[in-house]
Formats: sequence, C-alpha cells, structure tokens
Amino acid sequence: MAVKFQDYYETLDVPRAASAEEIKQAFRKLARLYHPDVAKNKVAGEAKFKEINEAYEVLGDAEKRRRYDELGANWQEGDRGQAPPGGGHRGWTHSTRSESAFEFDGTGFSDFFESFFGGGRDGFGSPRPSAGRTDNEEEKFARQGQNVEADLLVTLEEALRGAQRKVTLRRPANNGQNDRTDTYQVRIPPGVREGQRIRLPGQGGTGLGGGTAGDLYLRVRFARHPDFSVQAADLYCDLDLAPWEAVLGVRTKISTLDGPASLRVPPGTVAGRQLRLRGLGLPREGRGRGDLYATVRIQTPASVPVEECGLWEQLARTSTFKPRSEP
Amino acid sequence: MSEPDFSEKYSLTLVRMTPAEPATYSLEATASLAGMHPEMLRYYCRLGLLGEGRARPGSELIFDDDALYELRRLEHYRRHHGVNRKTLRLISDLWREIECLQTELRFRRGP
Repeated sequence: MAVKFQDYYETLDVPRAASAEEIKQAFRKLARLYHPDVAKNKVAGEAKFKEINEAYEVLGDAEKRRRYDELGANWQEGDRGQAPPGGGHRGWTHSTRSESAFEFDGTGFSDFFESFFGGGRDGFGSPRPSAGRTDNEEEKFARQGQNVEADLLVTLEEALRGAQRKVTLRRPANNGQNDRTDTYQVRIPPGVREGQRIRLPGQGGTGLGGGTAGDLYLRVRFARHPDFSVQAADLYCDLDLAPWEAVLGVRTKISTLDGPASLRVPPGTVAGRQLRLRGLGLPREGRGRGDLYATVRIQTPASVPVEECGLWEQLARTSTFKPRSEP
Repeated sequence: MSEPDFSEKYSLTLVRMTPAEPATYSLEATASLAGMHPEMLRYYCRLGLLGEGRARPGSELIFDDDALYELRRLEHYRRHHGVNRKTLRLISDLWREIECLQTELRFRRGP
C-alpha cells in the first residue's frame, strides 16, 4: 500500500497562498464545527476533527508547511514516499513499502502524517524501518526487536476525563509469517501530559535469534482546541470585551472544559489582563487541577451606526483618558 | 471505527488492554528493562541524564515509561553510535531544551 497523499489545503478549505492568519481562522472555524463535544454526528465529527487537526498541525507550522509544499510539488500518484533528491531531512529516509512498514489505525493521524511529519523520529524509534533493519542490534545473534513509536491524538477533554481508544497495528510479514494485525484498547489515563509516552511492552518488532520483542510506544499529542491553548496544567483562552464592558465591568459566561462558567469582569479591566478561573484547567501531576486563564481583548466596532456615533463623539470630547504619551 | 475487513489477509487478531494507571518501575526493574546495571542507572541519574521530572526523588527512585524510553534511547546511542557519557549529557540537555522550546512555541501560536 502506497502512502496516500493528503491535501491539507483542501481539508482546511483554504487556497494554497493563504496567510498563516487565514489558516488559523479556517482551522478554528472548522474545529468549532466538528469538535467531538459539539458535533451533531459524533462519529463523523470525530473523524473530520482529526483530519482538520492533522492538517493544521502541518499547515499551522511554517517549517512543516514549507516541507509539505515541497513534497506536494514532487508527489506523484503511486509514490511510495521516497525522499525527493537532495532532501536531507531524517524523516525522508524511512522506507514506506508495505512489506516492511508498520501500519497504524486509530491513533488519529494518517500514515502520510506519520511518514513525513511524525516529529522527533530518529533511528531509535522509527515506525517505518527499512526492511531487515532492527534498531536495537543487541549482540551478534540474539537481536531485540525494534521499538516502534507512533503519535496518539488526544483531545483536551480526553486528557481531563481519561478515555479508551482502539488502536490497531498491522505488522509486516516476517520470517515467512503472514502479516499480523493486533488490536489494542489503549487507556488514556486522566491527567495525561502532552508528549507522554504510553508503553506497550513487547508489542514492537519481533526479536531475532531468541531476542526479546521491542516495545510499542504511543506518544500523546494534544489535539488543537479551537478555544484553549495549554501550558502545563493551565489553559488559556481569549475573552473579547466591548470597551464599556472592560471599563464598567460585566458578568458574562465563558465556555470551559466543564461546560459554561460564569465570570465576573471587574470594573476598570485593562486589555491583556488575565482573569483566573480556579481549578478549571487540566489535572495536575500529583493531584488537583490547573487553572483556566481568560485573557482580556478589547474589541472595537469597525463601523458604528449614526445614532451611536454621537455618543462616541461626546465621549471623545469629555474623556480625560490618555492612552499614549505624545512627543 | 469499522470492524477489520477479514477479506484481507489477517492471521491473528488480538485485543490487549493497556493498564488504567500509567506504569511506574523501581530502579532495579528499570535497569533490567533497559539492559543495564542498576549502578549504571544510579550514575545516569546523578549525571542528570534523565531529568528531574522523570526520576522522582524520595527514599527510592521511581521511573515511568518516559524515563524508560529516554534511557533506552541514551543506551542505544552509547552502544551503537559510540557516544560517550559526556556527550550523552549534552544530547539529553539539548533534547530537553528542544522539547521546552517546542512546547513554548506551540503555546505562543495559540489555539
């Protein structure tokens, strides 16, 4: 099976020349629509959400996008994902021939992504080794099977509450044996961290000459959330306010991983201020939960109706507020 | 997810559960899993090769899957690429720094 090319621009429905900001907006729009928590059709929504996430993982990163564009220009149908000549990146060297490749299903990332953008791969944990090469060449005869590594897409909701995921791994034919497909129920423990590895002992490549089997490692990658970014156990989101709301204060609702929460914006709130909602972040290592910070952004109308214009003008005449020091 | 298509050539389908709690290992168990002597593992910890978050200090050292992964990766470099311990230290510091920077970059880009 040749690796199928993924058209990430099509997935995000943006033109090839789209700016970074346009790509981000497109992602957020689609992610809100298909997020597993809100999508009307859970199964279809989840599949679509994963595709969007994968596309943004690549197009949202300038370096990965550049590599992807280069790859797309050289891609031909039936391509087996070999390196374009002169491409010096390590990731290119993995053979993706079906006879030797491990194929995953259920991790949340496509084979295409794993082959070219599965980050941090080096000889040690390559999911797609060259035929006959093992990574842990123990000693002369007994060789330990290679360690196999793949990324596992985890949503923030799953990281909060824990989840179970069915992952299948198809192993290449080996020593006259047929292909083998194993299915794993992978339990994602609550409080799992980005980058954390879940080890499945002895589920990697088979050993040679009496060597033990390698391990399978699933590396947790948080799915991009349309609203929250993550720093350790804390979550951050933007809170858009009208100028008068920031000045006079307001009581409003914001969405959190635990559902809508009420938030009081105190009078005299300045742009950039972070309002903390205690305990609404992700589980902390040890115990308890991190916090959710809402960062205030003041929004202004691009145009105002005539009747409001008078009020702004009146404010402009009477206000003593000086936002900048003039030379 | 759809059921496996049995028209394809599958010889065996097994379902395995991973444990509900993340696994942790004692120093001896970790050393044995990484194929090294426990003293060597203690030495690695003293050198700071595994990072503070990995080997939790206390009455005894406890290791998790990430620690085991890093350890094996370090051992792989030492055995098969002739990397000495001083360079391992450098490599592991760089890895950690890259991970920190990647995390920061990801956060800066925002949702």
